[in-house]
Amino acid sequence: MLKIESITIKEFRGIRDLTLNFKKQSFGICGPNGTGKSGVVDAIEFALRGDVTRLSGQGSGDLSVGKHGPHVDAGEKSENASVRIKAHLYAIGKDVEIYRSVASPQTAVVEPTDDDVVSAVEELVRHPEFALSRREIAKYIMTPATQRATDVQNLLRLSEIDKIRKALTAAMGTEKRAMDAASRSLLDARQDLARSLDLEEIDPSQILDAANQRRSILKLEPIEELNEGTKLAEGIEQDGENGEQVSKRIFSERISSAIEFTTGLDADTSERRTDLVEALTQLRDDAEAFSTLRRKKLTSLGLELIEDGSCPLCETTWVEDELREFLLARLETAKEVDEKLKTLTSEADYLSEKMKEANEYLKAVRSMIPPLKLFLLMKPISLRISRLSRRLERFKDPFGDKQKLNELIEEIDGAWLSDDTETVQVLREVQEAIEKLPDESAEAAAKKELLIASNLYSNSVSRKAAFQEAKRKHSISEQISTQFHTTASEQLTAIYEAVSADFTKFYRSLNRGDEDDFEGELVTEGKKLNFNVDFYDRGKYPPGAFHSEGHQDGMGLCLYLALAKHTLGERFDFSVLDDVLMSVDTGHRREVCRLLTREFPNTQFILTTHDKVWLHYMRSEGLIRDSQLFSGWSVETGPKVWDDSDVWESIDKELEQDKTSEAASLLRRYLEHVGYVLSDGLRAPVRFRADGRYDLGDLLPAGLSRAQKQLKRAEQAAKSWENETKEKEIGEIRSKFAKVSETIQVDYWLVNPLVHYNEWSNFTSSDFKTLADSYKELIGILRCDNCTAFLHTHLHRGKEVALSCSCQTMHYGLSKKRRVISNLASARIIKS
Amino acid sequence: MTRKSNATSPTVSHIIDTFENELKEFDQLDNDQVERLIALIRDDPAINGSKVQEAIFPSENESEH
Repeated sequence: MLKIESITIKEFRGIRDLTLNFKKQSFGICGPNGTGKSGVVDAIEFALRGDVTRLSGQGSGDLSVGKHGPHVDAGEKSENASVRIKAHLYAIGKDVEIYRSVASPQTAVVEPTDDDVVSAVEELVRHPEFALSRREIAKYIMTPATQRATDVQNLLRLSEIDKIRKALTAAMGTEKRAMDAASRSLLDARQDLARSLDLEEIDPSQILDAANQRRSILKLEPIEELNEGTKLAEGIEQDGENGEQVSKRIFSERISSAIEFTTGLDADTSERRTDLVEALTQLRDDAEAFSTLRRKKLTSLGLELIEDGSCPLCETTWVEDELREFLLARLETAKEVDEKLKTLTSEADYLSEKMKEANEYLKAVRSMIPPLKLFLLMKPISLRISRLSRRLERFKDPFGDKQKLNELIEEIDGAWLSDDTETVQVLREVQEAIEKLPDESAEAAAKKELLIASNLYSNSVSRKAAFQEAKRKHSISEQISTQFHTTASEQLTAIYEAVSADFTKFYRSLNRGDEDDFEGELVTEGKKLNFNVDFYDRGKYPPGAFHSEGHQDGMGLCLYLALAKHTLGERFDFSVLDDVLMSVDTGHRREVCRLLTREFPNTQFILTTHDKVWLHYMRSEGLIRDSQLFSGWSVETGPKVWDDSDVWESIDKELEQDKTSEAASLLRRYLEHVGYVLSDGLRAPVRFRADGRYDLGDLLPAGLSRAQKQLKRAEQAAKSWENETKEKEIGEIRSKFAKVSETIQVDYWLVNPLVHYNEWSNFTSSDFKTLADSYKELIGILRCDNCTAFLHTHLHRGKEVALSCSCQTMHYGLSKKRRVISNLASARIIKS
Repeated sequence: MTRKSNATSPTVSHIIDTFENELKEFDQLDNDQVERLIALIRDDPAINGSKVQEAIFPSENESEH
């Protein structure tokens, strides 16, 4: 994919004009709810895909990017609503600039216009999974197994596999039908051959015997063996006339079979036809079922024709996967009708097969008309053959059209019987003509039968070759289809196992010390994809069964990361996690940062959060270097941005313009942030507030006081270990800390936030500059110059063991050396 | 931005690569048949049963038509 250098957003969503420099590195965006963080996420998605999930996905109703993408006050400037991204495409090693405006969301202006650059940008459109929001986590965790299978398969782009599988299966089905037809044709030819020689069995040795008996009557040499080139009538000269030989016996048998089949047809099919007519009539009269059926055809076709997220019917723009999901859900509702349809189709197929058989009989009878010279009967028989062919047409795809359905019902219900009766009458006329033929001499009969049998034998030989060829093709197509199914199944199982292994590894690292033996597994079961996780060695259950919501969210993130790793492989170099980290348990947040840093060192993460402590962890754990704070938002201006990396510079700038009030506001917000981070990192006791709205007065004094106490403990510990260097270092920190604290009268200024805020505002610029510099010095004492992390307490098995920054440049043990008491001294203690 | 991309996910590509290697081991198929079929599978988004048949048995089907 890509890594973003910078993004410029204009008049888009809640943002008027904002540029963020990500510098192709992971980046944090922090601000309270409603300050525009998700607007940045929307802008990234829009620039890369031309769409915004929140405006077009499920549940977005009448929202659209065109109408609701531009800022609400953009008015005539809405055509300026746009996003510009500068990025680097690592796969091809080129920089790219992507510009997309709301006026034409489907057209990105890409610079440079090199083919490989344009192609790489197009590829981005197909990967909406780069962004994961809090609500999407549930998609992988708390979802029915069939839906999960769809979601995961969409993420892994497995719909292509299904399409290939269907095409191979369809090819195999066609070859199977061709083979079955060739098999039936061969059987028919062999039966005709057997009948021509008056045999019950189709056995080569019997055929040979029967042929040689007739050859003996004609005093011809016997045939030694049957092979493909054998001519049963070899040595017989045909009479002058071409065409089929007239054999009274063979013709009698043919016509008898035709009459028997045709007269039995009505009785054989009567019950099934009555049932089918009733079912078809019900379907025709059930408006809803009929409409569902017609819609199903359209929906299935639509699914095949989806291209680039555009609806093939109305060209509305969708997120491609969501359109696919929507259509699949519609198909699901048509399932009941679909099942009914399968039964109806099967019954209709049975009847059409019977009609085809009747037609074959008629064609066989028609071939006897010229040698019998019954030319008057040619027309009525041909008429019946073509009428049957027309009737068969009505069985082709009758369910999508009411008129065709009516014609089929009429066909099955009405004309069937009368038509057969008329046919039988014609057949009987042929039979009478055959019976009137003079009896033949043994020689004449043997000659005619051998000539007919010889033709039928050649026919059966060629049909056997056709059957063998059809069988070969079917066998190949079957092997190909089976092989693909096996390969895909094995690979998918391996992928699910690999995803499960990564998921397990990620989740374990998040919950180190708590769920070290945790295991999770994705297992296919038919069309379902079950997801089960271990619950403290008590067995495997769905994630929602026993785990807390926080743990489930952690699982969602881990499963997403594991799937993304397998979906994109090396190309997983960009991801947006929109407030996802917030939902992870507080105690595991550092671990999340470590996980992302360790497992995805080449991925640029854009992370949004409304928790400053989180942002601090991201930075202190090396996940991000830069961040942007949104301190507020207004509809007129959009997000109010504030960068804590240059807070002191910003304060100085305000003071240079004599804006003490603005400088005071900045300092107050920054100190709130520091108080939050210190209190959390040092485990400071803070006065509890049920509403969770801790302010400066709650947090900073508690954090600073705790820092003092921990430094004192560290100094005592160093002394107990006789580590004079550390003792001296900590002593200097403490002394400096105490001196600066006294200067800024921490206790006084922080007692009542309202009072001190107003007091600050009343300072002169130079007085406030002194105060701000003192805070800068105080905070600097507790912050590592190398990794910029504040000192925080390290725990081991619940015990506080050290005070350190993230890179360990500042590292002070908290455990004192134990005193060794001699046996004598201990005895004295016990005695006393 | 209107040109079609034939990019496939790594998962699908891997499955097709493995399938191709296994087909090459089939005695009943020659190299041309395998190449035509794999090209169809990789490149044609509108793949269907008839196209598969044409890829595997091209000359026979043409002569039948």
